[in-house]
Amino acid sequence: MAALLLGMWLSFYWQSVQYSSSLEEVDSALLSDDLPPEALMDNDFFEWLKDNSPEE
Amino acid sequence: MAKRQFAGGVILCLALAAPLHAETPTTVVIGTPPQPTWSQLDVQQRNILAPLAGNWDGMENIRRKKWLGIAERYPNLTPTEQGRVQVRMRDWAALTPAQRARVRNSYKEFKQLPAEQKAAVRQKWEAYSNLPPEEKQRIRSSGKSAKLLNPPSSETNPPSPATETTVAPDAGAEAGKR
Repeated sequence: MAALLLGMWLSFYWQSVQYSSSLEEVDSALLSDDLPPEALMDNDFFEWLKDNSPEE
Repeated sequence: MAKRQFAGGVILCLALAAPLHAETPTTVVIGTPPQPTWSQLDVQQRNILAPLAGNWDGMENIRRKKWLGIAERYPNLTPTEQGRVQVRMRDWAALTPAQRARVRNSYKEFKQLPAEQKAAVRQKWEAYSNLPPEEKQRIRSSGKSAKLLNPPSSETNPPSPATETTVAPDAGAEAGKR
């Protein structure tokens, strides 16, 4: 039983390392980018901004 | 007996894998060891994470762990990028997990755009963010964002220095300096 619990905790620990590392990577890039997070807060707005189709 | 315990463990794992709140899986919360309090951080960490000093000790371990990782990456950023991180850190930490998740998804989408489209988004944002609020609303409801790259004045008149500033290719870099 102790081995099972240890195995589970190690698995959770590994998931925590992976999860934290992926957040660090994206947050660090996002917070230092010249496009600020405000530009990405509203999904509709971002889609509008991203749309490169010419004026009708 | 061992099989029953194993099956019980698997079921427990699956149950814990469900998110505790909007963003963080329960397994991750359980698997994150206790992280240092503000007074246990070293001087460099405290300097980098200074905007978070007020709410550091109230943060969950997984969020402290993430910020410590960001602090570790921080010296590799350019001074301009470091300045942006300092300015944005507090507001970012104040968002809800759902808001942060939404912005991260949009950012990942943004990073996958072709270089020209990314540059266009940055230029459009720069032009848009300099508009007064009523003009922002008007331009959003009146058409395509491509309009931001071709202000009406530039269609009939030679570009003025102010217009050039609005759509300059490096305008995005300027945005970050604010």
